[in-house]
Amino acid sequence: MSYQGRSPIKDVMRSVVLGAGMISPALIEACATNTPTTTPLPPTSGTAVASTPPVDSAPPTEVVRPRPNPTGTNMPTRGFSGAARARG
Amino acid sequence: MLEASHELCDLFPADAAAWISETPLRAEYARFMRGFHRPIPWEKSHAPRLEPGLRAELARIWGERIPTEYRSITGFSTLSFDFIAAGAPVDLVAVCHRVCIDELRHTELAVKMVETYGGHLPPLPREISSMPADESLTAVAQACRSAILLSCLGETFACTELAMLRDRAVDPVVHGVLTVFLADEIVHARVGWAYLAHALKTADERTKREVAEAIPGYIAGIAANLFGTADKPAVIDVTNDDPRLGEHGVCSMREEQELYRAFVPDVFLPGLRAVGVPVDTSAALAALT
Repeated sequence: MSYQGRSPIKDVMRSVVLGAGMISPALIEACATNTPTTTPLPPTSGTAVASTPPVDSAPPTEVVRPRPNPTGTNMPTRGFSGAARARG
Repeated sequence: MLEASHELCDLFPADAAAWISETPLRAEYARFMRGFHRPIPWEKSHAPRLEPGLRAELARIWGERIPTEYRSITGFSTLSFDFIAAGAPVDLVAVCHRVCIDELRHTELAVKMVETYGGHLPPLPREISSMPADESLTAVAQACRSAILLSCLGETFACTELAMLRDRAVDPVVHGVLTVFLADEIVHARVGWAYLAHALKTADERTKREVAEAIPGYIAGIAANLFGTADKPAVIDVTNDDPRLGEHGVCSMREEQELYRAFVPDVFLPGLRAVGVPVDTSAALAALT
């Protein structure tokens, strides 16, 4: 059995990777040969994926993955009021 | 009112895609299952005219998909924890949770397909998927790794395979179900690429290097899961060499392998390089062999 239809590779590249990664066709072409010569596109209001925030909003990379609560308190909070009391 | 509700279910069978719901929350659950998808013409299934052997094999294959779809909920739940720990944008956290709902929809559809082909339903699994985690990593590096494994590799390859399977599916029910799967998987794949593009804009070189180091292992790991290895067959096999099954959304193991071997160098690796992951191409391609 051999697939004779259109290749899904280009469709997936266009509809998934380029759009969500905000990557220009020229950049992906360069990266396909392992020699990227341009930088990723900066987000713009017209073309950026709606879920992408400004460039400088990523957290500092020295933040480590949180560990379990060392105090041993593991009771859940109860919504807004519970959380507010916990802060108080 | 009740009559109108029944008519709605008849016109939009996807509204009734809550076959395994058991509680008073069924109405809320059914709304989640419906989503925004087109109705599936269940009555047009080719299943009744298939010979028993083909029908049984299709029931087996869809039965294999029930636990895998259900189990993937826990993988994306973990990814949402990683996103929160890394300070990811809230919209990505939200989409991550939507993925969990989608995986339940896929579970429901797989259940319906097994019933359509007259098969037996397996129990839903209770184990929780354990994502690779390294406590020495920063939160951002860990979130990037998780996004790559689940979304950029696993779900993006799933999109590629689903597009191929759907393209040649002749049975309208299979085509409709695969359309739902594909539409959902595109979102699942996009969330990973969107996070990588976001996080790597400000990531330092060490973070990028730590992310890149894991990639050959992920490529080999997914391949082993899908195709098995020389000494260990694939745990779950949803392929079959019978060309008649191509019309019903099934490809051969060889086709799946060939697609993966094209996908990694043509989609996955260029995409990673484009968003700034300094992936070792030689090591990544060696992981394919």
